[in-house]
Amino acid sequence: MQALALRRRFQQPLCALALVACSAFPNVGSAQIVAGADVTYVNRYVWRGVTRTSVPVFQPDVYLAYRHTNSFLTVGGWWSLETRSGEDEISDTGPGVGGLGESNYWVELSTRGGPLDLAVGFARYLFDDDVPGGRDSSWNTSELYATLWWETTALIPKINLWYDIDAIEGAYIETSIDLRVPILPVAYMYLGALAGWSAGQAVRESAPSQPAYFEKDGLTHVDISVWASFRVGSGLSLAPELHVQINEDAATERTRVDDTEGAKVWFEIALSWAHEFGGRR
Amino acid sequence: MRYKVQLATALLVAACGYNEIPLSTPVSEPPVPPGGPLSAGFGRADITPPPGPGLYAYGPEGREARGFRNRLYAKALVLEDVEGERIAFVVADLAVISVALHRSAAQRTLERAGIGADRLVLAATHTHAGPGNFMGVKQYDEHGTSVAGFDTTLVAFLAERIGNAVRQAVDSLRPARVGFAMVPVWGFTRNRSLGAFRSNPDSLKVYEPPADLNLDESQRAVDPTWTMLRVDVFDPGQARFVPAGALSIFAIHGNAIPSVNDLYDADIHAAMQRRLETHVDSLNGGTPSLAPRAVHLVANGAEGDVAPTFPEAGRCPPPKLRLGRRPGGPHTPPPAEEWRPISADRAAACMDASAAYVDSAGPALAERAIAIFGSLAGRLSGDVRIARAFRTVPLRGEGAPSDLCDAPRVGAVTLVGSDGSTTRYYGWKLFGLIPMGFEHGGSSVETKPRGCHAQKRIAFGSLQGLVVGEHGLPEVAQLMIVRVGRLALAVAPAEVTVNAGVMIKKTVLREARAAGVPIDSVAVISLANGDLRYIVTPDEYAVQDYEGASTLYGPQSATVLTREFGDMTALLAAGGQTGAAADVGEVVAYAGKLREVMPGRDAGPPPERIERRFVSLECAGDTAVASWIDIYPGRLVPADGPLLRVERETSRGWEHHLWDDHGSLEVRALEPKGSRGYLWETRWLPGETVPGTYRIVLEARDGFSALRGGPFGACVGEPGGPSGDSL
Repeated sequence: MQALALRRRFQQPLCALALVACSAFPNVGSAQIVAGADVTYVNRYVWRGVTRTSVPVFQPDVYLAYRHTNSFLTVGGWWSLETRSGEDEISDTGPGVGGLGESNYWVELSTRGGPLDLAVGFARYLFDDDVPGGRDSSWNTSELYATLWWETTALIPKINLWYDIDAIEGAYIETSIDLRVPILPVAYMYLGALAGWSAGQAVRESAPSQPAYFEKDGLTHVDISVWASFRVGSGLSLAPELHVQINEDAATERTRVDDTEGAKVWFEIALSWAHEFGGRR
Repeated sequence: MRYKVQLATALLVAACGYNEIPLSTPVSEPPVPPGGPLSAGFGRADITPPPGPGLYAYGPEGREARGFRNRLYAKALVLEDVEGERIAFVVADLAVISVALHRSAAQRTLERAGIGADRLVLAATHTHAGPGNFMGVKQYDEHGTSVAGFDTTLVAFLAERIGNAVRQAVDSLRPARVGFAMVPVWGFTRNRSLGAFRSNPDSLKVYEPPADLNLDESQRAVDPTWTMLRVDVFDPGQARFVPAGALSIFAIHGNAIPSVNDLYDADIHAAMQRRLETHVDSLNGGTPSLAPRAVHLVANGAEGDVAPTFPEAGRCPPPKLRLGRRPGGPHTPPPAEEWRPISADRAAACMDASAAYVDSAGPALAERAIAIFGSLAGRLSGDVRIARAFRTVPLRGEGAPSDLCDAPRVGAVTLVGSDGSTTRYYGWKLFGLIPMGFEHGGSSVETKPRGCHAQKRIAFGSLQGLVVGEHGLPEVAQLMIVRVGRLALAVAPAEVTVNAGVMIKKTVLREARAAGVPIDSVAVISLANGDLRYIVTPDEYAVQDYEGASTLYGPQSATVLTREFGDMTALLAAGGQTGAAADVGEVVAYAGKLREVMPGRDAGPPPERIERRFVSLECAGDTAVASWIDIYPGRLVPADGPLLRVERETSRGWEHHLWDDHGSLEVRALEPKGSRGYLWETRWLPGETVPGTYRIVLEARDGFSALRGGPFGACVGEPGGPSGDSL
C-alpha cells in the first residue's frame, strides 16, 4: 500500500509536467533537448536558512529542457530523501522514520542576454499526507519565482524572488554576491555572501495557525559560503559547498529539536550529469 | 605527505603515457655524377587532409579542422650539380616539421629518388592553420592543439605526399641556371618581443632600414632579408632556359589567421607563393591551368620573435572560464565551469580583419618577390656546386653538448602564448593576486636564478619533470648546412630569433672563410627538419619573453647551435662528402597517445550507397552558401583533387571562374547524416567579382559524375547579413 501511495504521489505531478512539456513543444527536434540529473548529499538540509533536517539527506534532481538558442524551458522534479533521524533531530519525515520527506516539481523559463541571466518559474512543493512529528501535506504549496544574475569577470551578483501563491503566501527574497577566486589556471573557487529576507512568509498575527517559514519578516539569515563546480568527466561535474550561516530569525536559529544557535555550519556535495542530445560532431 | 605522494604518483602515471617509436635512418645513396651540368626540378603535392585533426601551434586555442580555404601544399625543388651532389628542398604548408615526419618523408624520398634525411631540407611555412597530431613528441601531440593525440596515419599521409613531390621534382630534373639575391623588404613584419630584442649587444643589431621609411622600433627590429634562389631550366621545345620557379626565405610568422579559424589554410604564404607562380607562368606563356606550372617555395627565416604586421582587430581574445550555461530548477546545483569562446560576431570580425590583412599584405609581398625574381634574370649561372652537411645532435644524455641543460623545461610563459596570440591562461594569478609567471616578462623571470635554466620560471616548478614526463619534449636536433654556389643555408629545427640568426650567420661566414669554403652569404631557414620550439640569444633568454621561456635547453642553446653550425660549415670544405657530413643518427620518437584523428578511408557508407545532391543554395549577406550531401570526410580527402569549382556564365557558355583553392571560398564538413551521407557546405564571398550569373559545380570524383548547382547572381547583401535569402 505504501509503495502504491508513493507511486501515485510521483506519477501525478510527473505526468502533468510531461503533458505541459509535450503540449508546449509539439515539434521539438532532438538537437534541442537537454537532459540532466544530479544528486546532492547534505549533512543537514537547510532551506532558506531554516534547518529542515538535522540529519544527512540525499537529494536527487532530474530535468528535461528544450533549448532555443540561449533560452531553456525546463521541467523537472526534485526529492529530499532523509536518513533515519533520532528523537531530538529535526526532520520532515518525523523522528525515526527517514525516507522521502519532500517532493518539488517545477517548470522554468530561463534566458541569457550578454552577462545577464534571467529565470522565471513555478514550483510546487509536496509533502506526505500523514507525518506524525514531521511536515505534512498542510505545507503543500506553490510559488512563482524569478532569478536575475549578472556575471562579470570577478563578481556574480544575484537576486532571487519567490512569491508563495498558496499555503504560505507572501514573498521571500535572497540577495547574494559571489567572488570568483582563481585557484588554478583551469579552475575557480567562489566565495559567496547571501542574505535572506522574508516579506510576508513569517507568522501572521491575524492567522497564527497558517503555515509560515519564519517568526518575523525582515532579515532571516546571512550565509557565507565557499564553493566550486568543476568537470570530472564527460557530462559529469562535481560541486562541493561549505556554508557558515549567521541566524537572524528564531526559525533559522533552530538547529535541533531543542537547540538554537546563533550560527551554524553545513556542507553539501553534488554530482551532476547533463547531456544535450543530437549536438553536432 | 601522503597527499603529495598520491599527487606525484598520479602525475607520474599521466606523464609516462608515451609511445616509443624508433624512427628510420634513411641515408642518401652516394652521389653519381650525372654527366651533365647543374640540373633542377620542381614538384608539388597537395597535402590538405580531411577534417578532423587539430589546427596546430595555437596550443589549446587551436581548433579542430572542419574544412579548408587555401589548400595546403608541399612544394619541392631538387638541385643536382655536376658531381651528382643532390639536395631536396621541400616547403610544406604546415606549422612545424617534426623529426618523425622528416624521417618518414626521407624514407620515401630515399626509396624513390635516393635522397635520404641528410639531403632533405623539409621546412614549414608555419601556418597556424595546418594539421597537428604528427609530432611524435608527447607534449606537442597532447597540447599543441585542442585535439590531442599522435596519428601515424596522418604522418604517413603527409610523408607519402612529400615523397611524391620530391619524386616529381627528380623526374623533372633538367639542365638549369640559378642565381640568388638577398634584398631587404621592410614594413611587413615587426618584432613582437621588443624588450628581449633590445637586451642584445649592439654588435648583433645589424639590420637598419632607410630613414625615409619612418618605421617604428618594432618594425626596425627584424631581419628584413628576402633571400631568393631563382631557378631557370632548359626547355628543349624552345631550346633556351626559361623561368621555372624559386626558393625564397623570408622571416615572417605564418600566423596572420587567428585562432578562431577552423579551416586549413596556407595563410599569408599562399599569396606569397602563388602570385609569383602565376607571374612566372605568364612569362612562359601557355594556357592557364588549375595549379600553376611554376613553383615558388617560401620558407621562413629567423622569425622567432617576428610577426606579420597584422592589425590588432585581427586577433581574437581567448575564451574565458565561466560557469556553464545549462538548464535546471530551484534546487539544481551550480553548473560546472567551462571555457566560453568569444561570440560568433566577434570571431567573424577577427576573421574579417585578418582576411583583409592577408588579402593586402600577401599580394604586396608577392610583388616584392616578383621584383626580386625579375632582377635575377641576368645573373644566373649553371656553374654552381652543391654541398651539404647533416648532423643529428643528441640534446640530452650521452653525446649531448655539456653546455645544454640536462633536461628540457618550458617556462610558465610558454603556456600563455606569444604577444598577439595569447592563450586562455594569459594573466592568471593565484587567488587573482599573486603573479605566477603567466605573463610576458615581469613575474615570468626567476628573480634568483638557480640551476641550468637560470632565469626561466619553470611552469609547475619542480613538478614539471613529472607533468611533462621523462621523454615529453624533443631530445634531438637535426641540423643541416647547405651550400648552393656562394650561398650557405643554415637549416635550423626551431624558430630562431632575429639576433640568434645573426649569431649563426656570422659564425658560418667566419668558419667558411677559415676553412676555405667559397661562400659569401648566409641565410637561416627556421622550422625545418624538426621542432625544438625557440632559440634565443643568452641576453634574450634572461628577459624571459615567450621565446626565451620556450627555449627548452637553457640559455646556451643558441651558443650550442651556432657552434654546431660552425663545425658543420668546415665539413663543406671537403664538398660535404665525408661520413661526418651525413650523420643520420638513430632517433626514437616518444609520441603522445596514439589516436586516429584523421578519419579513415572507410568512414561512413561507400559512395555507391550515397546520392550526392545539393541541399540548399542561399545568400548569407554578401556570401553565397551552398550545402550538399557527399561521402564522409576520410573517404573524401581534399588532397585527392579538386572538390568543386565556381563557373560564370558568359556569351560562350559556362566558363571556369575559380576552384576550391582560393581565399574567398571555404569548404566545411558540417555534420553526418547517417546512411544518407555527410552534409558539406561551401561559402563563397565573391568580393569584387564582376556581376553576373554563377553556378557551383561539384567535380567528378570518388565514383560520382560532376554535379551542377543552379545558377545564381552574386550575393549583394550587407556583409554578415542575415542568412536564408533564397537564390
